Amino acid sequence: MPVSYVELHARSAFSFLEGASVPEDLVSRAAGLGYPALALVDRDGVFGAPRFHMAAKRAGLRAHIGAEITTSQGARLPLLARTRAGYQNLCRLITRLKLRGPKGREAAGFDDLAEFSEGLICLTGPRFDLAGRLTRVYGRGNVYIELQRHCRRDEEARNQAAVEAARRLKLPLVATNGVSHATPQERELLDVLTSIRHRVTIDTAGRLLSRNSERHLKPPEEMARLFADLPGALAHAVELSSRLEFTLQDLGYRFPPYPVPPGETMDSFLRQRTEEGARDRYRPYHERARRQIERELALIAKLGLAGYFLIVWDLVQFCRGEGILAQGRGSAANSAVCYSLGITAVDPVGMDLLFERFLSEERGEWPDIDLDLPSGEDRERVIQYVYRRYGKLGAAMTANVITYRGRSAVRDVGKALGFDEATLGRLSRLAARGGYAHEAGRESSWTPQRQFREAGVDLSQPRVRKFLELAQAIQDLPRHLGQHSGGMVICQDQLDSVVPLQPATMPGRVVVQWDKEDCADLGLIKVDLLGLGMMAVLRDSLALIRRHYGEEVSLAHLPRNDPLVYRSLQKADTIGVFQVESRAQMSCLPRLCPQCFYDIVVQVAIIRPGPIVGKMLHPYLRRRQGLEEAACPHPLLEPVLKRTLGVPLFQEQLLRMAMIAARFSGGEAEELRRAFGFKRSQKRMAEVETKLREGMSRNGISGAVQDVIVQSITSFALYGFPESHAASFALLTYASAYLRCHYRAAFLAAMLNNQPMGFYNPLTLVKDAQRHGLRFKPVDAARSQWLCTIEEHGGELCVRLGFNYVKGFRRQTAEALQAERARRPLAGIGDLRRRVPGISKDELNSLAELGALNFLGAPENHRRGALWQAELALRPAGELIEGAAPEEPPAPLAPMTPLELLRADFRNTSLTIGAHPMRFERRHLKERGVLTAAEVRSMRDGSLVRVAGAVICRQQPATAKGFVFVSMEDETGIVNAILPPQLFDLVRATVVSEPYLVIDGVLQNQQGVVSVKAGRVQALDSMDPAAGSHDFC
Amino acid sequence: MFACLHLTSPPLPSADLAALARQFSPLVEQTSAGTVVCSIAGLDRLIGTPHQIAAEIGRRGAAMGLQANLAIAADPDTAVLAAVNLPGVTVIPPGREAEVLGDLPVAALPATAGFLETLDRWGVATLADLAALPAIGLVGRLGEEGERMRRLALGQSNRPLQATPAPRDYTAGLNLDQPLALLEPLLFAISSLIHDLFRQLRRQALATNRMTLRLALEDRTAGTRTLEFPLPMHEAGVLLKQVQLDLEAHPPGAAVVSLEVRLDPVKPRRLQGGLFCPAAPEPDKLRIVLARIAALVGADRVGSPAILDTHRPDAYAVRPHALEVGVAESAAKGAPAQRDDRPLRLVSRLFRPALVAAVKLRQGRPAWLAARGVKGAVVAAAGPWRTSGDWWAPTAWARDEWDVGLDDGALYRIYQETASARWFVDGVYD
Repeated sequence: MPVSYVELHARSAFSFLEGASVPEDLVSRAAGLGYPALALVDRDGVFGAPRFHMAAKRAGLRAHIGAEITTSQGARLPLLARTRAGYQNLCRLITRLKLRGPKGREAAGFDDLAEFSEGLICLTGPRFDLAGRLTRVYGRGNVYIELQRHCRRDEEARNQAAVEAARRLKLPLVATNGVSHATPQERELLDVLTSIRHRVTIDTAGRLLSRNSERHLKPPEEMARLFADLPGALAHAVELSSRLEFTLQDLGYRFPPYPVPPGETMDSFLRQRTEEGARDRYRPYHERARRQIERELALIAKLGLAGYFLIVWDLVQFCRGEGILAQGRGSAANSAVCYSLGITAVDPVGMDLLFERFLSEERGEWPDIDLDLPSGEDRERVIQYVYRRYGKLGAAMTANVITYRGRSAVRDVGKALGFDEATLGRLSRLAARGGYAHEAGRESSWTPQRQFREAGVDLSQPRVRKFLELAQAIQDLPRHLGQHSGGMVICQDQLDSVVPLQPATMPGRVVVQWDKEDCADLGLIKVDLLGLGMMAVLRDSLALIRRHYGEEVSLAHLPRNDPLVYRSLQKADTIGVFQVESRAQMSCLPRLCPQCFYDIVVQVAIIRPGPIVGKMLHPYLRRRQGLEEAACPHPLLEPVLKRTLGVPLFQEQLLRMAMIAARFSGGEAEELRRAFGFKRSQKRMAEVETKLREGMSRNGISGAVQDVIVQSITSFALYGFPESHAASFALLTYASAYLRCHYRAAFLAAMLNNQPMGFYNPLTLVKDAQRHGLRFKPVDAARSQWLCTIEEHGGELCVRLGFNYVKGFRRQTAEALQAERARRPLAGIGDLRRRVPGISKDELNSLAELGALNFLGAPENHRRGALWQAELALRPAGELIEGAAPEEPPAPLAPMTPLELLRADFRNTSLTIGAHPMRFERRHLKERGVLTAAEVRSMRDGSLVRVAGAVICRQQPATAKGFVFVSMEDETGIVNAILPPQLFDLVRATVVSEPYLVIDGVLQNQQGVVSVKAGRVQALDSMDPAAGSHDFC
Repeated sequence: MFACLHLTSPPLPSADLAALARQFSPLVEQTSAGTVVCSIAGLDRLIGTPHQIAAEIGRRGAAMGLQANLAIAADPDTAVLAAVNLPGVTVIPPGREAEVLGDLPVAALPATAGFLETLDRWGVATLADLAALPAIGLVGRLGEEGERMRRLALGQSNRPLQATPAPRDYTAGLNLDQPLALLEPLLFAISSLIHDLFRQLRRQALATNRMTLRLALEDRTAGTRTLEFPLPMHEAGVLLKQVQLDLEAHPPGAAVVSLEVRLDPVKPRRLQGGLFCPAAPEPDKLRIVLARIAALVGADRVGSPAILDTHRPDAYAVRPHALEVGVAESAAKGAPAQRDDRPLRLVSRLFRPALVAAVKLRQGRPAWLAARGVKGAVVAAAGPWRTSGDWWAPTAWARDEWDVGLDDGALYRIYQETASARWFVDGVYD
């Protein structure tokens, strides 16, 4: 008769550095060994439970949930959830401990255990007194004495004591293996994790490491052999498993109802709000919109989701009341109800968007509404509103599980294996540059051997080989729990009975122990409150426009099809414009040549790895230019792909293609999207692809056509935008382009005040604006505010740089200075120093060196004069002569030269509103035959050119087969260069580290897109100040 | 007038530089590791003009193989600035200091980073720029440091020289009339030198922590023995005993024709004995005992056994004895005294090395055991007790242990190496 065994004490990698296998691997191994069930018992949490549950569901295993609770006696108590009440108690207990206070106070006392004991089963060790007390807490029948055998001599004494305790207390014995890894091989990884946890090297870890490799999932027969003398202990494991009724299927989560006035239901209240909104949005409220809204409301009522929509509506109302810009993104933009409620800004009816991508009865999945908010304080206000409204234990942020990736894996494993800091640095730099030579499809001499040799590491050493193996094995293992950028989960009853909550690093925030995907898997509805820098820019721009232009601009009512906006987009004049400012977008814009809003939607979506890898970009552009026929891969797909000229560009199209070509249901199509989504598993992808091919074959689609469809679906499922999402973003693109064209001063000031954001550094933004005729004023102690502001000068508006651009200048100093200035104008540098005593020496000197004190009566009105005077003001004068203004002879220092002024600007602000650094070298560069960016634009395609500039961007996209793109800026604009992989290998150090470059190459000037195909790269040595660049992101 | 020498190639020790300076003046200041400055007042009557003095210093320096810059000026700091920053020989006539130093960058000044940063902001690049600033304005802004640096830039620091006394050398040598082939007369000769040197050390209230003995041998070879002591030594007798033991262990290869003893001076160690510390042998004497034992059995076999922090069975290392009273005391403090109330346990005696064994298995468990002096049927077996480790290193191990009772009543610990599958008897339980 086959032996049956259930492992009731397995730790996964979600015990954070105390387990070496992810839940999926534990499940797969358990299923392989024929276990009917498995219990996951991670340390002080249920972090891995959703992944464990989902994997077990797929494998046909029962997934028992529990956790090891750290007690105040220092022991770890495995608790297993028997019933839903038990699970809720476990979550509440963990929440209580986690929220109790600082780390280290997370241990549970008997009072805590007793309060949350119902429905839980407790495993305990041989201590007679402890087992007795636990029996009183959990009740007889709910406490088991645990036995483990890992082939350790010292364990047997403990087991004998356990048997004795069980006999005396009349408690059942249960055998477990205290599993920490799925297979024996992962013991090495566990040892490395142990070293990382204790911050020691593996050579000095000593007895902290495992004694042997026995803590793995063992075949039932082996467990039976180990416990041959105590067969009851094994039988009890199976019996106990059968008592554990609870699984995460039975979570009991309910979204909170929205409070409605008496006599109303949530459905009726939602209908009213939607109708009101629709009449405002749709002018006139036409029949198509009416029908769509009716259809959506019916489905929402059927699925009982009215509360969810009302809660999000309530959030949007709060934002509106507080003057906070908020706009829904993602698939919510497919909903006319969302549009009517003011949650989203795109009209899905007008744009013919697919509602099912957002909500489908068949998919059985909750909708997902993401709100974009201005990053910073506004977003925090909305988050705190949610906490206030639903209580600290009723709402929480979703977690972000930080996993080991390239650089972190290399650093931690390398450190544990005892590599020195210099070697670690070199290895992690290699890892950060795309891993160890697995740049697929790249023909290069850049082999692992060469990489390691250049890093000064000998790959023939066994320890280095072990390092490689372990750095690979540790990939994707959880490292610690972070906080998701904006996902919030809300629950009707206390959220802490659904999932444990714990404090986030940020004060005032609470996070759940599950990440976004886990919450979605278990049907928890979340609202993503995402901070978007551009929203903050738009908010600030509107405020500045109101104040300085005297105009009230509403984003909802911007003039459509503004010719200036489209002209700038067509010319790729888009520095600072949301989503279309990158080098790749700029090189595409002149070819796509946007002429209407939908073109912007396409433009936003097309420069994504998905369409590029799926080889959609060039066919689309060629078809748009009429160079190629707009044919569909199969006639069946024509209705789906007609709008995008036969080329799939959006996720909705992918789903529709699978539904039509392979007759997938909506749910299956969504499953496909997720299989190719972020948490990719080779096995799952292969399964879905097989299903897709089978479906197409059944539908009569085979051969090359099938391959084309499969390739287009699978390659961009990961990085493709939903059409609705692209449309929401395109609105922001249009708005930012509009403000940039018509209110440049306000837009630039707002951009500068919200850095870092976007693609370019402030210097590039300033220089671009200057080339468009905008004037800037320097930081001035007598006029500047903390933020950049707008001033009128000679009838035109210009941007005054704020103190926020002075390096090391504190906000409190700026505020004190502004307050003093408001009381009475500053009479001089000494006066400033006396009235703002908190100003530090560095702050005062920085102001002087920037020329910000020139206007305060600095001698000779130059920066050095101010520095001379500032130094005197910084010396304590003593009580006797305090306040007396001594007669000062003129400053003996010479004024700064233009180059010195530039250096001072860079030293203190990282930008200059004066001449571009390249201008100082122009004469010499001309002698060397270097052309300006402006000159290059007028050269013929194929010309040999030499260009130079400050590097503002270096990129090596994964989709570019090793090609490197470098953007350089000079006083006339930006010039792009393309470096082939072979050249990059030769000049890697120069390209990566030099701030200024000279590049010789062949000019490519086609359809208004200009770039230089590099043949030779040199550093431009004579240059010194540099503003930094956007590299390899 | 002052002359400053600044080494331009560092291989020679700065002591040589100071020695060169002392050939010209008793007042020598070691300004930094590679820079000395000395007074040359009065040398004009012995040698001549500053240029002639410079030539003479240069000549002797070249003879010593020194590569250095030389500067002569009326002010010591001016001489230093010139020697450090101007190549070759610079003779600065009085009154022309500011002119000669003017082109030097301000970074040449011995100023704080903050001071130099301020000058950089001001655009003050050279000493001439600094010297041109108004004295009162500068003091008002940069305080005393500002004035000091300005005076340096003007070549007017006018500070007195901080002369350092010449270091004493505790070396004594002896040329022997007759080559000595026997150890006893050699030790007698060494003894007189050591006693003499210790007398000199004591006069300066010093001890030694290193002795170097150089021997010239009859076969024209030379031998050097160096003895280092962890604690400063102040008794000639103890040192002599150590020398004797060392020479017995490493006798010279031929008869000795001359010898030289050098002691490195250090400050003596002051230690007050604890009132409640148990009496222990004098560290110096204990060291002699240990040195004697080490001479007999080998230095790597003397010390205390220490259990290593590893799961590897029977892993230990021999660590040197802690001779410091303080160390022993703190070690004792670290382990609080505990009443040993653990139950009685079996004691095992390990075989070193383990005995190679032959084992017969039945159903995967040992059934019969044979090794040198051990033989019998296994009547009871507990195990396997499995250990493995060091998987990342060449010292990786893995083994399965069993505790077996034989039919003769004896109880053994046996193990099988996983890699080789070989069996061993590890020990016997008493």
